Formats: sequence, structure tokens, C-alpha cells
Amino acid sequence: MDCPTDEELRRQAASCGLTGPVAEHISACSACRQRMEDLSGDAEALRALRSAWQDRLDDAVRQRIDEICREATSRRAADG
Amino acid sequence: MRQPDQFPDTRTTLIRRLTDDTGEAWRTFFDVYGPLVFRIARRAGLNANDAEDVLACVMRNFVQAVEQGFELDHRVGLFRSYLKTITTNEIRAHRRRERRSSELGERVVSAVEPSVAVRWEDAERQNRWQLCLERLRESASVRSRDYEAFVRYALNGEPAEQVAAELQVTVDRLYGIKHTMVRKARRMWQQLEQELGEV
Repeated sequence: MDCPTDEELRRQAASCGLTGPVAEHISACSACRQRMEDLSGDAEALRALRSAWQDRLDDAVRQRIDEICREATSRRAADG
Repeated sequence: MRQPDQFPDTRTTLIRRLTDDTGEAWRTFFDVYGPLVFRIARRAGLNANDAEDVLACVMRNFVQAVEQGFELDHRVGLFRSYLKTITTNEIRAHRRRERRSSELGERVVSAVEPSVAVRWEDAERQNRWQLCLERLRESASVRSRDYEAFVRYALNGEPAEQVAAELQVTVDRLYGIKHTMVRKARRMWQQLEQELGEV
């Protein structure tokens, strides 16, 4: 099939599953996949997620942060 | 319609729930703001140990302030300003100690420096997306294989054919996983906005 219209891509992006001829076309057409992401706002979210992923904290650091926060409430409970 | 500088006027917002002293509310607060304060301290140039010290001081001060009836006043501006101020104060205190200065500087800042405020907004936005990723990973509705596929293909940029073959899914299915995961992450972001206010 020819590349779908913007409206068809928006409908596809809003649907929960990716099925049917439009979905099949999108699977095979990288330009349409990119158009669909741009039209739906997913592209912006994906850029933010990639940036967040690259800047993520090490698991050990994240665990240490949790411990420090828990200590703040533990001290409060002990003081109370 | 909610004003841009206000929390939604509802008992369900996180900050208001803290005053009800629920463990769940505190866990969520620490999930959101623990990493944020740590990042702000690191971005301000402190080493990891000093950033941990800043985090501990800020959280102790905040917990104490809530316990003593800190007036949240429903306004996100007031809450953020308070958290920024105590974080900035602690960062400055560590810098002063680093310089080993015997002179006492100004102990209390009345306003957060603009540059810190800009960093704070950026870091808070980044931090919320990271929290979305953590929640995706821990979500009961997300298969660990799908999370791995999403990370490798959509976040790390590995070739779709390679990821699909190694995880034994079709390339079409991989595209679907990416779409679904981004949608879930966006919904999580919206939930955080409802709970915490817009960044």
C-alpha cells in the first residue's frame, strides 16, 4: 500500500495494538514509523526517555539514596 | 481550571498526603525527590560522598519541617522553593567546608540563584522520566523480556533485527513493544504530573 495519511497514522498511534494493513506498512516503512512517532508526540517522549536512560544512576547509588531517605524517617520515628 | 503555580486542590496530591503520615506517601516522595536532590548536588560539583551528605541533611530537614506543621499551602511554588532553598543551603555549606574557611558566611539564602533554578527544572524533568523507566521495569504488566527489548532497541539503539533475533520475537513485534512502552511511560509521566504538579 502507499504510505498512509497523517490522519491514518494518528489513528494507528492511538490504537492499542498494531494490526491490519496500515500496521503492516508501518512495520516495513521506517519513514512512516518516524512520522507516526512525530505525529503522536511519542518521538519527544522517546528522546526524553533516551536522555534519562543515558543519565541514569547506578543501581548501587540508587540503593544508597533509598537507604539515606529511609534513615531520615527512621530517625524521625526514633526521635518521636 | 488549575492555576499553573498551584497543586491540584485535592487530598490525593502527594505533598498533602505526607501530612497524613502514610508510609506509602513518604516512599513515593523519596522515590521522586531523593535522586533529584542527589543529582542537583552532583551537578553543583560535589563528589558522591558530599552529595549523599547533602541528601541526608535535606531529607532530615524536610521530614522535620513536615512534622512541625510546615505550611504547604497547596502551592507548588512554595514547596519547590523550600526544597530548593534547603538543598542550596546544604550545598553551600559543603562548599564552605571544602574551602576550610573559618569565617561564617550567610547561613540562609532568601532566594535560589537563577542558575540553580534552571538546573533544578531540568533535573526534575529528567528525574521524572527516570522514575517512569524504573516503574516500567517494576510494573507487573510489563514482561521483563519486553523491557529488555525496549531498552536495547529503543534506548540503546541496537539494530532491530539483532534484538529481535536474540529475544526470539519478530521485528514487527519489537516495533509494537516500543510503541506500547512509550505509551505506558507517557501515561506514567501524566500521573506524576497530576500528583506532583507540572515541572
